Amino acid sequence: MILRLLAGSLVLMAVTLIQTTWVSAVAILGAKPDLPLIVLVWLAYRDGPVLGSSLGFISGLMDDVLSSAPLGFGAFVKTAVAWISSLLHGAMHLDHFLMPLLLGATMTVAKALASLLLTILFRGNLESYDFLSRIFWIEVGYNALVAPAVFFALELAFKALGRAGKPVE
Amino acid sequence: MPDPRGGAGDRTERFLPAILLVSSLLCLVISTRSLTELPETVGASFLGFFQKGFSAVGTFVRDTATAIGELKRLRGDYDSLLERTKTLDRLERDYADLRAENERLKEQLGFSTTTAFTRLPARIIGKDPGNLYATIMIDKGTSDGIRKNMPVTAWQDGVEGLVGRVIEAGQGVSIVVPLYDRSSAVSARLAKSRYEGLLTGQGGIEDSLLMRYVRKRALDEAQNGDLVVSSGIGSLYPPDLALGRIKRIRDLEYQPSLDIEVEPILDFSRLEYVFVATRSGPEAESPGLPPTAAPGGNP
Repeated sequence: MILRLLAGSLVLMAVTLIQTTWVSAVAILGAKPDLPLIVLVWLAYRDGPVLGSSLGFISGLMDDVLSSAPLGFGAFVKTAVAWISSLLHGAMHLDHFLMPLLLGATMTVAKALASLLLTILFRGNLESYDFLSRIFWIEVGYNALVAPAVFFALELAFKALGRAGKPVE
Repeated sequence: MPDPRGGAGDRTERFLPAILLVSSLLCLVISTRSLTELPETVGASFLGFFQKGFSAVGTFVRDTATAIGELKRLRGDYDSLLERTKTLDRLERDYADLRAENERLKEQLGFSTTTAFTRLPARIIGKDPGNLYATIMIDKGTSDGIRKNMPVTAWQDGVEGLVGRVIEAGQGVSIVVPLYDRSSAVSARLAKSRYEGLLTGQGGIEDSLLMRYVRKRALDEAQNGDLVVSSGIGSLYPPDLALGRIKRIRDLEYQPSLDIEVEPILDFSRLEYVFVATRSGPEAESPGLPPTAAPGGNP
């Protein structure tokens, strides 16, 4: 369990660093895909609620320290997304294209809804997605398209490490 | 006293000091408002260390890939530049004459050439992980003399424009909030007519900036393409730094002031290097300014 948490955290840290340094180069009209979110969704789906939520919290904290968002904002949003993703653990079959595509899109919407909830709770002192904005829908589409490839790459990588398919008890 | 039977009690005793230490630190962070930013600063410094490595690898790969095309282009540029050099030789002589004349005139008018700011160059190593907030991470931090709230500028196409301000300074990295972030607000004025307003970001790197609270009287004197500069009010940003150009003026009847859409003077997506304006000179002692920095590597 601890080893999985550590491994997942290291993967998320590497992906977050890639996100902040390289991913801006592939932004479309200012919107970039959220690679750490997609990786988190896969890890949470695979590892269940306890580990998934913990990884969501860690990933969110990393986002917060690299962003102008107040500490805790990303942690809340990503913990929520990871928890929702982990609820699907064992409840559905993850194919190679359609389900990753749907998860990529729906979890981006879930992220936006979680940030909206925080904005309501903190009376507008925080930023939330504008559901009518171009950037939001480009990100939804981008994440949906990128998710199948990322899921496939993660599956291959973890299989190579001999860890895939071992559910957490 | 350790539990002779070992087990849970022993483990608790072993970890209790660490738990108490962490609890004390947490209490300290919460009770001391000055330390509320400590976790973010430490986190940014830690991740920034690795971020520099990732950024360097990305730069290396990109530079190698573009090197071949770049060489061809450089050869063409070299030939044309040789031609231009001849022209510039002549212009340089004229320039030297004009500069000497300008210095003489300035002296007569009593202008000072000393600036209140020293510019510390920094490289952009990362950007905000998400699309909701907009931040830029640079490779200089407190060890280079950078402090919170220092203004950040950049040169592009021969113009120096305002990028934003430092919101977090770690050991070797700092986080800058750019003009286009929604939380950004700069006291601005129209360069020609000198009317003031408040320039705010709209979130997207491609979005225009919005200048609010401009008197309706300015409508007669402002037109599209006019330069908008920082006013220097509040002393956070130096005065007369280029911010953008007027793109559209909105005069709504129900509003007491004008809303002006401003096209940023800098193309933020092309920025690679910036300058952090650290204070120096007599203005550094003025009240309300950020603390004077001691830059380690001035340009």
